[in-house]
Parts: sequence; structure tokens; C-alpha cells
Amino acid sequence: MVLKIIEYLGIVFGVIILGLLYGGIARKVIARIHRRYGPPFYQNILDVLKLFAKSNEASHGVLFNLGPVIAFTGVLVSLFFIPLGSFRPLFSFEGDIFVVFYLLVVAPLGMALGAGEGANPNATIGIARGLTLMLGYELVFFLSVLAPMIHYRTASIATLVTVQSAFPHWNVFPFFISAFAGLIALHGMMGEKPFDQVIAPHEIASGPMVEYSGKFLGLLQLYHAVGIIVETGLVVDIFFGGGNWLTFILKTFFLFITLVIINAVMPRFRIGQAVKFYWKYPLVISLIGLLIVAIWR
Amino acid sequence: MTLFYILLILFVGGILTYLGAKISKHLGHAIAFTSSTLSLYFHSILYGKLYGFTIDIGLFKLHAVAFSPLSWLIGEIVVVIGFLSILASFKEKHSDFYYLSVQFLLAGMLLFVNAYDSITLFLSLELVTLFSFFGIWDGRKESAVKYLIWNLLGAYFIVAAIAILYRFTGSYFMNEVHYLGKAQKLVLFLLLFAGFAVKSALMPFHVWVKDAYRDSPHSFTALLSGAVSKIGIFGYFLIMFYTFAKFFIGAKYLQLTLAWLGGITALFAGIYATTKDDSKELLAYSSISQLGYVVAGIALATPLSISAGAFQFVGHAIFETLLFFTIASVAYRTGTTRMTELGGLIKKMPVSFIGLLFGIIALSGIPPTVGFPGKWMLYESFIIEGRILLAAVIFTASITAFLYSFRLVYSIFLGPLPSKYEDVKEAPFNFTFPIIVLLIPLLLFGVQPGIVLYYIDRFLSIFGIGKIEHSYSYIVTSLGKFNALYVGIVFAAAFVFAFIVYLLGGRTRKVHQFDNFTAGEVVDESYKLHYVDDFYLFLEREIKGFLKLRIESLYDWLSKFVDGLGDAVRRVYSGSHGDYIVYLGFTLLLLILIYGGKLWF
Repeated sequence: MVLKIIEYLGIVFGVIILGLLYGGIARKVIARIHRRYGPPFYQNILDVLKLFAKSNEASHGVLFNLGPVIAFTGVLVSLFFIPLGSFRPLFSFEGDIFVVFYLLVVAPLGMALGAGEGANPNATIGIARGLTLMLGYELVFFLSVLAPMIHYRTASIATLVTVQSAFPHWNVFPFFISAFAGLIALHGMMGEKPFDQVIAPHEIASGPMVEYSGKFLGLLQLYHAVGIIVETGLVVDIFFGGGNWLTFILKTFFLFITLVIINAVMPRFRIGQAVKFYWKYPLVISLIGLLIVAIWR
Repeated sequence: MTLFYILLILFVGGILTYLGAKISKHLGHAIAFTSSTLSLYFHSILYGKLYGFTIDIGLFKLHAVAFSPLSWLIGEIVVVIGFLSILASFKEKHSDFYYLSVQFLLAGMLLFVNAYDSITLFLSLELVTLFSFFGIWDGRKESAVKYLIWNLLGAYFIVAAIAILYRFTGSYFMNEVHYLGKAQKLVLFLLLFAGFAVKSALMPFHVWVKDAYRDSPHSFTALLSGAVSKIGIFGYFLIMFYTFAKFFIGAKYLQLTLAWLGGITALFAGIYATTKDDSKELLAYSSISQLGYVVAGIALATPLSISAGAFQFVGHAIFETLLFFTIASVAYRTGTTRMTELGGLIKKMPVSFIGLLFGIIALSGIPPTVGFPGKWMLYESFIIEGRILLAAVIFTASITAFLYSFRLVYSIFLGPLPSKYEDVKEAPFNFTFPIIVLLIPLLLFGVQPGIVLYYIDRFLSIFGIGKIEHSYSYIVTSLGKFNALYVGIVFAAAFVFAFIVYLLGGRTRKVHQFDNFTAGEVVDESYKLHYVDDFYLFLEREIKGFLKLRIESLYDWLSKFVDGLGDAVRRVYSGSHGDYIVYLGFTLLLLILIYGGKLWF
């Protein structure tokens, strides 16, 4: 029992460090694409340490303080229901994709609640945009994930990983149409450009994060770091065959960096355009993917 | 006979409340409190028993038997919410007749869920309609009339079906119908379904809900949404799995049609809810939307989907009532339910805020609350059955729930506090007590869904539908597994961990609400920093065309058409003698033409 808890704590720390490193490398990559030098790849770790060391930070109330805590809680809970490489937490058999879908909402909700008490209209506009965007990408993601799920008749992520254990059996090959739609949905879920209306630093001053500083911002950084691993990990598990420790890390890394490279050269959609885009193209693509699965079966 | 005594307590208590209130307001309150407490107590001790009664009222006998395990479950929901609603309504201003109508309404609902013959069924349904009408009447008369008209329409459907049923079978009992043809069964089924659909506000019979919920007294709305809507749901269960069981289980296309009706109701009502400015209107649409899930679930008629629908309506009874009570407490202190006029109340009304927060968490179906297991089973059952588009529609509907529920919590409790609410206090005990009471099942059934599933299992086995695999804490389907207890434990552990990380950071200092980032502007009261008007304007812009499509315009057109027709008919009576002589002459001519001269012989 104690060993198990220590193991879990180790995984959480590992994932946090990994996520922070991913974020740092992404900053470096974006900088190089923009022909800047960029910060060192471990900059995000330093940032978090600095933020936690700060004191006398502005607080707008209890919920404002708890918001980042709930957000971090949300991603941590989701983490335990997703198989991470060869490590299969006990819980990935105890909850399936739909559980993860709903657990993933806890984190944005926590951030939204906390930012709401900050009483800054920029934050609320960001959240309203985020929820609207959710109406776009969530459905696409749901439909694209349904394709392998219906084919293998299981909603358990752990089982889906098992059936595609060897390289040529990755779900991305038979379900490439659905996987494509799923990747577009993931792009919106991660809030990368052209879907960064929630943050939109030039319009609404970083949206939900506008009032946060010090350890609150540090917690939100941690949330973001774990969120990267959870979201890319989910897609890697469903479409790219999971893998062992090393391959899992490599797959999530390459997936993330691909999204970041697209992010680096894209402008931003207006929020209405973004939702409409999701309803127009990826939705149709995911429906075609589903149709093919239905015929193929 | 215990059930009979409960009804007697409520009827006598209602009349005594009315008379007592004539003497003193407090006496009336005391009687209403006593009778609702007694009914709650006596109904609770019926747990697990077989109960019922038969009384002869001259023309026919009334049979009330708890023949379905859902009878007790819905009955308990009714008495609990009734008790809480009466408790909260003591603080509001009501006419003396209000308490009588609430108690009669409770009696009517209890009788309905135990009705064994069609006369009792219809009688109790009329009791429910009439006395909920009086309840809404206490708020605003126009909405009450609208409610009455729609529910009378439903009653006509039901009375027609009952009459035809009697004509064909010669029996007043709601037993299974055997001797009818398929077409006859279909017509009867649809008539009864439409009748109950008005009560449970299924689209396109939902138009009364917005007005009735918005304008009824605040504590009464909780009862309307939490308990009265369940009458329609119980009616569905009755006709689908009892009266027309064999017919319905076999009718795949009918099942699909009704399931789609539920799915479309869920989606459309969810989208409308995001565009509403009044918190009670928003919740009215959210209530319609959530009941759409229930219909979609039970109409699909597999053991898993029925369990999903049944679990969802128990959840709906808990969180929707909770939400309406929090709105009631806000309205009691501020005097408005319009979200654009509220804001920042979290610091003033923390208990109401916690109630609303957990209410929306359950409403949007986030585990580990009571909202999740039902939705989870619903998705699984749709996908097992291959109803993927329906699953997608329901999923989209549940995303709209995130949209409108965040709008609700933000506009009322978060954001800046308007200066006029500086000295608002927490709502009195009468409002906070229901909120705290309802939080318990909301979390308990979330981590131990088996408590509710136990009843549903019994229902499924008694009516021979099948069973689902579950224990107190987990549910297993052929697709996957959901262990609510583990989710709850992991949640708690992760929260503790995140909180420890939070404590690692430095100290904080409390700042004023206007001490925030405004890009250098100096802000004061004159700046409106509360982002509440047109919250989802950018979404509304994209779905402008859809929002224009409203069923109300069809009804308006219909009412105008009937109005015009009546006007045209009225013109016949012009008042001039010459016209009447011409009519007489034409009539005679017509008669001669029709009878071909036979008239003369």
C-alpha cells in the first residue's frame, strides 16, 4: 500500500517534470521558428519554482484561491485513468473513455470558477470562448474516438491499448480518417493556434489567467504541464498504440511538437469562425470515419 | 392502509391549514409543517413493503397499489421535495390557499404513482394539474392559465385513451392489454404518451414550462421541476413496460422515434438554455433538456438504457431541485432572478453558492456526483445498441450543459458585487436547510450509485426486462466499467495532493474586487465589469438561423388561425333580418337539393 502510494507520487512528479520540459521545449521550438533564440528548455521548471517562491500575492477570495487547486486536481484525477506507457494504473480498468471525458472537464471548470471570482471581464470572456469552443471540438473528438471503440467493442482505454500492442496494429492506420479528425480536435483541446481564443494574449490579456500571479499561476502552470501529457497521452493510447515508457514519451513528445509547430505559424480564428470550422470540416470527416467503420464491420 | 392515511393526512392537513391560516399565519404554517412531516415519515417507513388500498366511492372503486418498485422511489422523491418546498415557502409571501394546494398536490402525486386503475390514474392526474395550477397562480396568473391549457390538452389525450381502452377491453385496470390489434395499440400508446409528454415537458409540448417555472413562487418551482415532472416520467414507465409492455418491447421503430424525440429535446432545450437571461428560464430549459435524456434512455428499452434513464431522473430530482432552491434563496434576498442584475454574491451567500456549485457540477454530469452514472450508462447503452448519432446528439446536449451552467454560477455568484447588494445576508434557515439536505444524496448516490440501482434492478426483474451488472460502487457493461467509489477516492486524494502543493507557496493578501488588471484604466462603480449581457453572443451569432426556428411560432400561427376562423364565423351573425332570411332560404334550397324532393312526401 505504502509502496503503491510512493509509486503514484513518483509518477505524478515524473509527469509534472515531463510536462514542464515539453512546454519548455515547445517555447524553444516556437522561438526558433520565429527566428528568436528562445529560453532554455528547462525554463518552465525555473518559472514554477520562482512562482512558488513569491509571496504577498493578490487574492480575490476563497474560490479564487481554490480555482487553480481544483484545476490541478482535475488533471491529476484524469491522469490516473489513462494508461501511461507500460505503467497501467489500477484505475484505468475502473473507468473507461467516458469517465475520462468528463474528468477532463473538471480542470477547465476549476480554472473558470477561480477566474470568475477574480471579477475581471477579460477572464470571463476567455471562459465563455473556451466553453463555446468546447461545443466544437468535443463532439468531433467523441465521434473520432468512437470509431476504434465500436470496432473493438470496448470503451476501456486499457483494452484499446492492448489490442494494438505491435507497431503495424496501431489504430491510426485502419482508422486514419477518424484519427485525423481526432487530431484536429486535440489541437483545439490543447488551445494551440488557431484555436487559442481562450488565452488570446493580444485581445483579452491571457483570459482566465489575467488575475493570477505567484503560486496560483504556478499551480496553473503545473495544471498545463500535466494537461499536455494527459491529452496527448489519451490520443497516443487510443490511436498510436500506447507503448512502453520510452515509446510512450517519444510518441507524446512528437505528437505535441507537431501541434506546436502548426501552432507557431498559424494566426488565430475568431471564436465564431473556430466553432463553425469544427462543425464544417472535422465533424464531417469524423462522421465519414464512423461510416466507414460501420460499413467495414 | 398506510398510504390511505398519508393521503388523508395531506387532504385534512390542507384544509386545516387553510382554516388555521384564517386565524393566524403561524398556526397555518405549523399545521402545514406537521402534515408534511408526518407524510414524509409515514411514507419513508413504507420502504420495502407492499402497500395499497381500495376504496369504494359509489360509482366505482379506487385502487391504489404500489405495484412497481418505482412507485415508492418517486413517492419518496415527492414527499421529500414537498416537505422541503413547504419549509422554504414559509419565508415567502403566499395566499392561505397556497398551502392547501401544495398539500393536495402532494396527495395527488402520491396517488398517481400508486394508481392501479385508470379512473384513479386520471383522477390523481387531474388533482396534480389543478393544484399545481393554483400553485403557479400564486405567482402570476397568465402563466398559470398557460400551464392549465397545455395540461388540459394532455388530460384530453389521456381521457380519450382511457375511454377507448375501456370500450375495447371492458376493464378499468391498467393491466397489460392483450386483445387489441397493433394499430389500435399504437394509437392508444401514442395518446397516452402525448398526455404524459405534456407533464414531463417533452418537445413539442414544452412551451408552458418556461413561463410556469419563471413565474411560479420560487419554492414552488423546485417542487414543479423536481417532483411534478416525474409524474410524466412515471407515466412513461407505466405505459411502456406495463400496459403496453409486449407491444412496446417489440416495436423497434417506435422506440427509436421516441428516443430521438428525447435526444432532440435534450439538445434543443440545452441550446435555448444558453441564450436565456433569466436564471429560472435557464433552469426551466435545462430541466427540459435533462428530462430529454431520461426519455431517450427509457424509450430505447434495453436494461442498461432503462437503468440510465431511471438513474437520470433520480439525479434530476436531486440537482434540479437543489438549483431551484438556491435560486429561491437568492431571489428571497435580492428580489430578482435576472442574471444581468446579480453578481458577486459568493461572499454574501456562501451556503447558497455551494449548493449551486454542486448543483451545476451534477447537472453537467461530472463524477463523482449523481449526474454522472446516469449519463455514463446512457452513452454505453447507445453505443452497444449501435445508436451512434443519438449518442452524439446527447453528448452535444451535455456540452451545452457546461455552457449554461457556467453562465448560471458566474452571473449570480461570481464577478463583481453590485453596490446595492453590499448588505445582503445569507438566506434564512428555511432555504439553506433544503440546500444542505439535498447535497447529501447528490454526493452519496454519486459515489454509491448502487443504492438507486437497487430499485431499478427490482423494477427490471419484476417487469421481466433483464438485469445489469453492478454493485454498490461500480457498474459494468459489455463496453467498460465505471467504479464510482474509486473515482471518488482518487478525486479526494488528488485534491489533497493539489492542496498540499498550494500550501507550499507563499502567503497571499486579500484585495478589493476592483483591484484588478484593467490595462491602466482606473475603474470604479460606473464601469460595468460584469460580463453578463449576451454571454454567448458569438455563439448566438453562429446559430442565428436555428434560434429563429421556434415551435412557439407554429402554435402562435395556429392560435391566430383559430382566432381568425372564429372571427369569420362570428360575421355570419350580422344582425340584419334580411341576411337571416337569405340564410333560411339557402338552407331550404340545400335541404331540397339533398333530399331530392323527398322532403315533400
